[in-house]
Amino acid sequence: MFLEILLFTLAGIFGGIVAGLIPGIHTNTLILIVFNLLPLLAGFPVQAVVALIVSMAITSTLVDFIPSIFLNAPSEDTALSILPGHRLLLEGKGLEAVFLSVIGGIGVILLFIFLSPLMVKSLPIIYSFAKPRMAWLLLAVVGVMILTEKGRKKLWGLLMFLLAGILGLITLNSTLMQPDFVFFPLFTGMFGISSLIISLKDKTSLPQQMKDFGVVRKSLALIGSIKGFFAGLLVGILPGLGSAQAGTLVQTITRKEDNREFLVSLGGINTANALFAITALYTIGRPRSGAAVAIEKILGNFGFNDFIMLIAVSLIAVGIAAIATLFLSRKFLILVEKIPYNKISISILSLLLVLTIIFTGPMGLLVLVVSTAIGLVAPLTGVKRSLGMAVIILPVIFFYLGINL
Amino acid sequence: MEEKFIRNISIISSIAGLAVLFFISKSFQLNQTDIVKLGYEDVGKIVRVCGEVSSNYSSKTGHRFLKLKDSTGSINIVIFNTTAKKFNLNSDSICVVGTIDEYENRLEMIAKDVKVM
Repeated sequence: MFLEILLFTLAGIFGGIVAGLIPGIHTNTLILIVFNLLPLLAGFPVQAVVALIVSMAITSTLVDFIPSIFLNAPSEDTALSILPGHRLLLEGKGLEAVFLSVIGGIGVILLFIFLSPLMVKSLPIIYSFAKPRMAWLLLAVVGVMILTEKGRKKLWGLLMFLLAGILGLITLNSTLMQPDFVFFPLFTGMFGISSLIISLKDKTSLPQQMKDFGVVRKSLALIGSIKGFFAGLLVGILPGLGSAQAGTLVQTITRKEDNREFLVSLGGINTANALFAITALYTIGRPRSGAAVAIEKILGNFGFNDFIMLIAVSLIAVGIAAIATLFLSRKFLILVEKIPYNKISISILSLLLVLTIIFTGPMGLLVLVVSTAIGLVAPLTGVKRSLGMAVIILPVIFFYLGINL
Repeated sequence: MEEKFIRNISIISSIAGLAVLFFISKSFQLNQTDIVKLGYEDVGKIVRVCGEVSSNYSSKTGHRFLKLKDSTGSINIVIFNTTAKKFNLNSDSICVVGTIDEYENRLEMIAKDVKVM
């Protein structure tokens, strides 16, 4: 069985790399594809199939940063990396931005290995404390995000939050689109296309890029990874809270405006999120991510041996995915430098439009137009783009308050 | 001036777009699916089925469990208490929009919307 698990892990890493490089494809979309292929994998051990899913999910969270930084095209989990990543790209440090995200991923898995016995013991306690207070915790997150805007921007922040939140309430409570793809037009418009439009409007051109990854201070890597670890803990156990909100919360609470540290944290959160989702499935028996749902459905009973096996698979996946991400980011940079940035922006914009039509049809296109318009409000009023995450936060708050529209 | 103009246009388009989406989402109707055509490949999809309610009971916590039959087959419908409060579930002929799920190796549907036929 060892060989099968190893081969499936490698296959998962390959799948995660391919999917990570395609702009806008979320890990859950991949898992759905694997789920549809399950009958073809019927002869293989279920542990190997689960290893495939976990390695794919973890790999794509790291590789995802390449299109999100170089092409401004995010998935749900990397949505907030656009601004800090893009800023570094415009300073000629695109490779450093990818490097920082990778450091976060590696830092978090090392922290996790050291702290996993503590996590296994404490997760059920943290979860039982948080669950009945979920709506209020989220409202507190929102309050912090809006109130930390300066002066009149608080009102713009509130407007941005309400517009995005209402869009979430309308789309997530309707049958306009199939649930598997409902987030695609929402996030693509809110964070991707709106950024591309701003780039095109400002006639952004890609400056000469540095050809190395730069040198990252150990203290920055450590602090960023610790923040990513704890933010990932929040995401891994609390339903509704995504990587982006947790990242914003940690960034806001610690009042750090450092783009580099934020990128390390965000790279860490996505990996931590995947690890804590596996831990939560083992300790509290509840799936907290698309991958965890798939694991639960395939394995049925999720025991200690399965937990250890998946942690080992995660270690292999992070190691290989980190090397692959750094290697591919250099190749990607060569490609990006050869083509004028405006042409890249227009090509990505067209690709995202075509993918939206393929995945979600005309209704998805309509949602995309509205989410793009709302996504433009943040950069044009100068408020935090992360307030666009209200598209998920507000429906989750309503759900936990028992308000059913 | 240009930026302010674009900002205002964005806000107006956002609000207009939300209004359009709201009304479309209220009037949008999925095509009806025959129950017999539902399979495990549909798990996670939203579908609309219509038929006669052949059994109907509530749990202590207010969740409703119906069995819906059309001319092709039957399916169990789960209506959680928060959803159940919103609908009149006393009629025999209804259309249900919901997500297909799998529970104990059987297909069931988690209702989002219920309409009397």
